[in-house]
Amino acid sequence: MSTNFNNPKAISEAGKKIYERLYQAEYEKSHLGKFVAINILDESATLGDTASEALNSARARYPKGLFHLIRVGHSGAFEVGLAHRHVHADRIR
Amino acid sequence: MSTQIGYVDENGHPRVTIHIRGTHPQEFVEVDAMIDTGFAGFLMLPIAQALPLGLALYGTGDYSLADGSSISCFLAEGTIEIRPPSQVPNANIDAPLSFDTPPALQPESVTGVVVLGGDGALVGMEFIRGLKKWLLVGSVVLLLDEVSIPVPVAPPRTSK
Repeated sequence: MSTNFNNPKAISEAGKKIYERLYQAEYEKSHLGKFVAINILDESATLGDTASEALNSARARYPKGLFHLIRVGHSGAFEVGLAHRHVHADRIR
Repeated sequence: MSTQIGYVDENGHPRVTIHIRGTHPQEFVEVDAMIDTGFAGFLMLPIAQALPLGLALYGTGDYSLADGSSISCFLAEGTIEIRPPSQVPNANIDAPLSFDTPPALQPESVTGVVVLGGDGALVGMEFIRGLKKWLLVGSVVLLLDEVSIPVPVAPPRTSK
Protein backbone atom coordinates (compact mmCIF):
# COMPACT_ATOMS: atom_id res chain seq x y z
CA MET A 1 0.00 0.00 0.00
CA SER A 2 1.56 3.30 -1.08
CA THR A 3 1.70 6.33 1.20
CA ASN A 4 -0.26 9.46 0.33
CA PHE A 5 2.55 12.00 0.34
CA ASN A 6 0.04 14.88 0.25
CA ASN A 7 -1.22 14.07 3.69
CA PRO A 8 1.06 14.89 6.67
CA LYS A 9 -0.79 12.43 8.88
CA ALA A 10 -0.12 9.60 6.45
CA ILE A 11 3.57 10.52 6.26
CA SER A 12 3.64 10.68 10.04
CA GLU A 13 2.08 7.22 10.35
CA ALA A 14 4.55 5.76 7.86
CA GLY A 15 7.45 7.31 9.73
CA LYS A 16 6.22 6.09 13.09
CA LYS A 17 5.81 2.53 11.84
CA ILE A 18 9.37 2.49 10.53
CA TYR A 19 10.67 3.93 13.78
CA GLU A 20 8.75 1.45 15.94
CA ARG A 21 9.86 -1.49 13.82
CA LEU A 22 13.53 -0.65 13.37
CA TYR A 23 14.78 1.92 15.89
CA GLN A 24 12.56 2.53 18.92
CA ALA A 25 13.85 -0.24 21.20
CA GLU A 26 17.50 0.62 20.67
CA TYR A 27 17.13 4.41 20.73
CA GLU A 28 15.07 4.48 23.92
CA LYS A 29 17.93 2.73 25.71
CA SER A 30 20.61 5.23 24.82
CA HIS A 31 19.23 8.31 23.04
CA LEU A 32 16.34 9.52 25.17
CA GLY A 33 15.32 13.08 24.38
CA LYS A 34 17.18 13.25 21.09
CA PHE A 35 15.47 13.95 17.79
CA VAL A 36 15.50 11.42 14.96
CA ALA A 37 14.58 12.12 11.35
CA ILE A 38 13.14 9.01 9.69
CA ASN A 39 13.45 9.00 5.91
CA ILE A 40 10.30 7.20 4.82
CA LEU A 41 11.74 6.61 1.35
CA ASP A 42 14.61 4.36 2.48
CA GLU A 43 13.77 3.75 6.18
CA SER A 44 17.02 5.33 7.38
CA ALA A 45 17.32 7.29 10.63
CA THR A 46 19.40 10.34 11.50
CA LEU A 47 19.86 11.48 15.08
CA GLY A 48 20.40 15.00 16.37
CA ASP A 49 20.38 16.90 19.65
CA THR A 50 17.90 19.39 18.22
CA ALA A 51 15.17 19.14 15.62
CA SER A 52 17.15 21.35 13.25
CA GLU A 53 20.30 19.29 13.71
CA ALA A 54 18.53 16.00 12.98
CA LEU A 55 16.76 17.34 9.89
CA ASN A 56 19.76 19.23 8.52
CA SER A 57 21.99 16.18 8.95
CA ALA A 58 19.37 13.97 7.34
CA ARG A 59 19.01 16.34 4.39
CA ALA A 60 22.78 16.46 3.96
CA ARG A 61 22.88 12.66 3.76
CA TYR A 62 19.72 12.23 1.71
CA PRO A 63 18.94 15.44 -0.21
CA LYS A 64 15.86 13.92 -1.79
CA GLY A 65 14.53 12.26 1.32
CA LEU A 66 11.11 12.72 2.89
CA PHE A 67 11.46 12.94 6.62
CA HIS A 68 9.27 12.42 9.63
CA LEU A 69 10.68 13.83 12.85
CA ILE A 70 10.37 12.00 16.15
CA ARG A 71 11.68 12.75 19.61
CA VAL A 72 12.98 9.62 21.33
CA GLY A 73 10.86 8.70 24.32
CA HIS A 74 8.16 11.28 23.57
CA SER A 75 4.73 10.95 22.00
CA GLY A 76 5.47 13.67 19.49
CA ALA A 77 8.40 15.68 18.20
CA PHE A 78 7.13 18.75 20.03
CA GLU A 79 4.94 19.71 22.93
CA VAL A 80 3.46 23.16 23.11
CA GLY A 81 1.89 25.08 25.92
CA LEU A 82 3.04 25.62 29.48
CA ALA A 83 0.34 23.12 30.52
CA HIS A 84 2.64 20.40 29.28
CA ARG A 85 5.09 21.00 32.06
CA HIS A 86 4.70 18.25 34.56
CA VAL A 87 6.48 17.26 37.72
CA HIS A 88 7.44 13.70 38.37
CA ALA A 89 5.43 12.30 41.28
CA ASP A 90 8.53 11.58 43.36
CA ARG A 91 9.39 15.28 43.40
CA ILE A 92 6.18 16.27 45.13
CA ARG A 93 6.03 13.57 47.82
CA MET B 1 25.53 40.92 19.97
CA SER B 2 22.85 42.68 21.93
CA THR B 3 20.11 42.54 24.49
CA GLN B 4 16.77 41.84 22.88
CA ILE B 5 13.76 43.31 24.63
CA GLY B 6 10.30 41.83 24.60
CA TYR B 7 7.23 42.37 26.73
CA VAL B 8 4.62 40.62 28.82
CA ASP B 9 1.19 40.68 27.22
CA GLU B 10 -2.18 41.29 28.88
CA ASN B 11 -2.50 37.57 29.61
CA GLY B 12 0.88 37.44 31.31
CA HIS B 13 2.67 35.64 28.46
CA PRO B 14 6.18 36.70 27.44
CA ARG B 15 6.40 37.89 23.83
CA VAL B 16 9.10 39.15 21.51
CA THR B 17 8.71 40.89 18.17
CA ILE B 18 10.51 39.11 15.35
CA HIS B 19 10.82 39.04 11.58
CA ILE B 20 10.43 35.65 9.90
CA ARG B 21 11.91 34.96 6.48
CA GLY B 22 11.84 32.04 4.08
CA THR B 23 13.26 31.50 0.63
CA HIS B 24 11.57 34.53 -0.90
CA PRO B 25 14.24 37.27 -0.82
CA GLN B 26 11.88 40.21 -0.34
CA GLU B 27 9.18 38.79 1.89
CA PHE B 28 9.10 38.66 5.64
CA VAL B 29 6.39 38.72 8.25
CA GLU B 30 6.61 40.65 11.51
CA VAL B 31 4.95 38.93 14.44
CA ASP B 32 4.77 39.25 18.20
CA ALA B 33 5.70 35.67 18.98
CA MET B 34 4.94 34.08 22.31
CA ILE B 35 7.96 32.62 24.09
CA ASP B 36 7.13 29.14 25.34
CA THR B 37 9.90 27.46 27.31
CA GLY B 38 7.77 24.30 27.25
CA PHE B 39 8.29 24.16 23.50
CA ALA B 40 11.59 22.47 22.69
CA GLY B 41 11.42 23.49 19.04
CA PHE B 42 12.41 26.61 17.16
CA LEU B 43 9.28 28.26 15.79
CA MET B 44 5.64 27.38 15.28
CA LEU B 45 3.81 29.47 12.70
CA PRO B 46 0.26 29.28 11.32
CA ILE B 47 0.18 28.18 7.69
CA ALA B 48 -1.60 31.37 6.62
CA GLN B 49 1.39 33.43 7.78
CA ALA B 50 3.95 30.96 6.45
CA LEU B 51 2.75 30.59 2.86
CA PRO B 52 3.77 34.06 1.58
CA LEU B 53 7.31 33.49 2.83
CA GLY B 54 8.09 30.56 0.56
CA LEU B 55 9.38 28.37 3.38
CA ALA B 56 11.19 25.25 2.14
CA LEU B 57 9.37 22.12 3.29
CA TYR B 58 11.41 19.41 5.04
CA GLY B 59 8.94 16.75 6.09
CA THR B 60 6.51 16.16 8.93
CA GLY B 61 6.37 16.02 12.69
CA ASP B 62 3.74 15.61 15.39
CA TYR B 63 3.07 18.09 18.13
CA SER B 64 1.17 17.23 21.29
CA LEU B 65 -1.47 19.45 22.84
CA ALA B 66 -2.41 19.89 26.48
CA ASP B 67 -5.31 17.44 26.15
CA GLY B 68 -2.95 14.68 25.03
CA SER B 69 -4.02 14.73 21.42
CA SER B 70 -1.42 15.14 18.71
CA ILE B 71 -1.46 16.88 15.36
CA SER B 72 0.64 15.94 12.35
CA CYS B 73 2.01 18.92 10.52
CA PHE B 74 4.52 19.90 7.90
CA LEU B 75 7.98 21.11 8.92
CA ALA B 76 9.88 23.78 7.01
CA GLU B 77 13.04 25.83 7.27
CA GLY B 78 12.78 29.47 8.28
CA THR B 79 14.95 32.27 9.60
CA ILE B 80 14.09 34.48 12.53
CA GLU B 81 15.58 37.94 12.60
CA ILE B 82 15.51 39.99 15.73
CA ARG B 83 13.54 43.14 15.07
CA PRO B 84 16.14 45.93 15.11
CA PRO B 85 14.29 48.60 17.12
CA SER B 86 14.15 46.24 20.07
CA GLN B 87 17.88 45.70 20.28
CA VAL B 88 20.17 47.40 22.76
CA PRO B 89 23.94 46.92 22.47
CA ASN B 90 25.67 45.24 25.42
CA ALA B 91 27.92 48.18 26.22
CA ASN B 92 27.83 47.64 29.99
CA ILE B 93 25.77 44.94 31.67
CA ASP B 94 25.81 46.92 34.96
CA ALA B 95 24.50 50.15 33.44
CA PRO B 96 20.76 50.74 33.27
CA LEU B 97 19.27 50.11 29.87
CA SER B 98 18.76 53.30 27.89
CA PHE B 99 16.09 53.69 25.26
CA ASP B 100 17.10 57.24 24.30
CA THR B 101 20.31 56.68 22.36
CA PRO B 102 19.86 55.06 18.98
CA PRO B 103 22.01 51.94 19.13
CA ALA B 104 24.49 50.88 16.49
CA LEU B 105 22.94 47.56 15.64
CA GLN B 106 24.08 44.45 13.91
CA PRO B 107 21.40 42.14 12.53
CA GLU B 108 21.00 38.93 14.44
CA SER B 109 19.29 35.98 12.89
CA VAL B 110 19.01 32.26 13.40
CA THR B 111 17.66 29.53 11.12
CA GLY B 112 15.76 26.50 12.26
CA VAL B 113 12.81 24.16 11.82
CA VAL B 114 9.40 25.78 11.57
CA VAL B 115 6.35 23.80 12.61
CA LEU B 116 3.52 24.84 10.30
CA GLY B 117 0.40 25.02 12.43
CA GLY B 118 -1.06 26.41 15.61
CA ASP B 119 -3.05 29.54 16.27
CA GLY B 120 -0.22 32.03 16.58
CA ALA B 121 3.54 32.40 16.32
CA LEU B 122 5.43 30.63 19.08
CA VAL B 123 9.19 30.50 19.68
CA GLY B 124 10.82 27.87 21.85
CA MET B 125 14.05 26.82 23.46
CA GLU B 126 15.83 26.06 20.20
CA PHE B 127 15.35 29.71 19.22
CA ILE B 128 16.74 31.00 22.51
CA ARG B 129 19.67 28.58 22.48
CA GLY B 130 20.33 29.25 18.80
CA LEU B 131 20.82 32.92 19.57
CA LYS B 132 23.01 31.97 22.54
CA LYS B 133 20.95 34.08 24.88
CA TRP B 134 19.45 33.86 28.34
CA LEU B 135 15.77 34.55 28.87
CA LEU B 136 14.76 36.79 31.76
CA VAL B 137 11.09 37.49 32.42
CA GLY B 138 9.91 40.17 34.81
CA SER B 139 7.89 43.25 34.03
CA VAL B 140 9.62 43.12 30.64
CA VAL B 141 11.27 40.28 28.78
CA LEU B 142 15.02 40.30 28.16
CA LEU B 143 17.10 38.04 25.96
CA LEU B 144 20.67 38.56 27.16
CA ASP B 145 23.81 37.35 25.41
CA GLU B 146 25.31 34.31 27.12
CA VAL B 147 28.73 35.97 27.21
CA SER B 148 27.26 38.70 29.40
CA ILE B 149 26.41 36.22 32.15
CA PRO B 150 29.43 35.38 34.36
CA VAL B 151 28.36 31.84 35.23
CA PRO B 152 29.32 28.53 33.61
CA VAL B 153 26.67 27.08 31.30
CA ALA B 154 25.65 23.63 32.51
CA PRO B 155 25.22 20.89 29.92
CA PRO B 156 21.60 19.90 29.27
CA ARG B 157 20.25 17.09 31.45
CA THR B 158 18.23 14.30 29.98
CA SER B 159 14.73 14.22 31.49
CA LYS B 160 13.65 10.85 33.02
